[in-house]
Amino acid sequence: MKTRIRELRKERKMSQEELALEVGTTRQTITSIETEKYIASLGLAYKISKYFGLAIEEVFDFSEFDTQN
Amino acid sequence: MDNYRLTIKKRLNLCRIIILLAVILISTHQFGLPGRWGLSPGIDEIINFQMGLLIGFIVFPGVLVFKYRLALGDEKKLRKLHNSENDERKKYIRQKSGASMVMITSGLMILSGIISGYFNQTVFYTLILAAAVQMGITAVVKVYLLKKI
Repeated sequence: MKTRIRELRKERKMSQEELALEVGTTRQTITSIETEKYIASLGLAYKISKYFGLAIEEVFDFSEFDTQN
Repeated sequence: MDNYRLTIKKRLNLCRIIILLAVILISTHQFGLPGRWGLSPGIDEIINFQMGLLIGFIVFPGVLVFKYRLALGDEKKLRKLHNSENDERKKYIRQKSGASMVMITSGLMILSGIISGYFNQTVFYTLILAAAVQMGITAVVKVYLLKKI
């Protein structure tokens, strides 16, 4: 799943370690999310979005889950 | 974080008790007490294996005591430790590799091996080897998943 986490982190001049500490996870998990190897749970996605002050849809790209009518 | 601090303090005390018990058991082995209790001290491999295990029960909790004491002295380290233990990705990997169950079954196999070793050495080696292979396979799977996910 694509995310804007790296872009948002760099805007705030923040390391993965700092973000991980703030949202209650590890640096390795943030790396895995950014490299699209791991999909964050709803709880973690919410914490990350809340930390950046944005809606979940503005941080995580849900377009792959859109179904065609 | 206060609750977690209390949890770490309890774990610290538990580690210290384990270290103390291991030291007492090593002392009884050294002074030959098992022989006096009617247990045969002639099975050298099993006794040596037990000594190694007991030394492990001193070293590993010792490392944990050092780690926990560092964490208790630094709020940032405590938060990092808390995050590491409750990390969802790590929990997912642990679940997928079956690590928790394997640790329990391997522990039981090692304990059974030590007890049965006093009666049959073949059973001792078989159980210990099976436990080691089981833990080795789980470790490989865990490393693979850590790289993949």
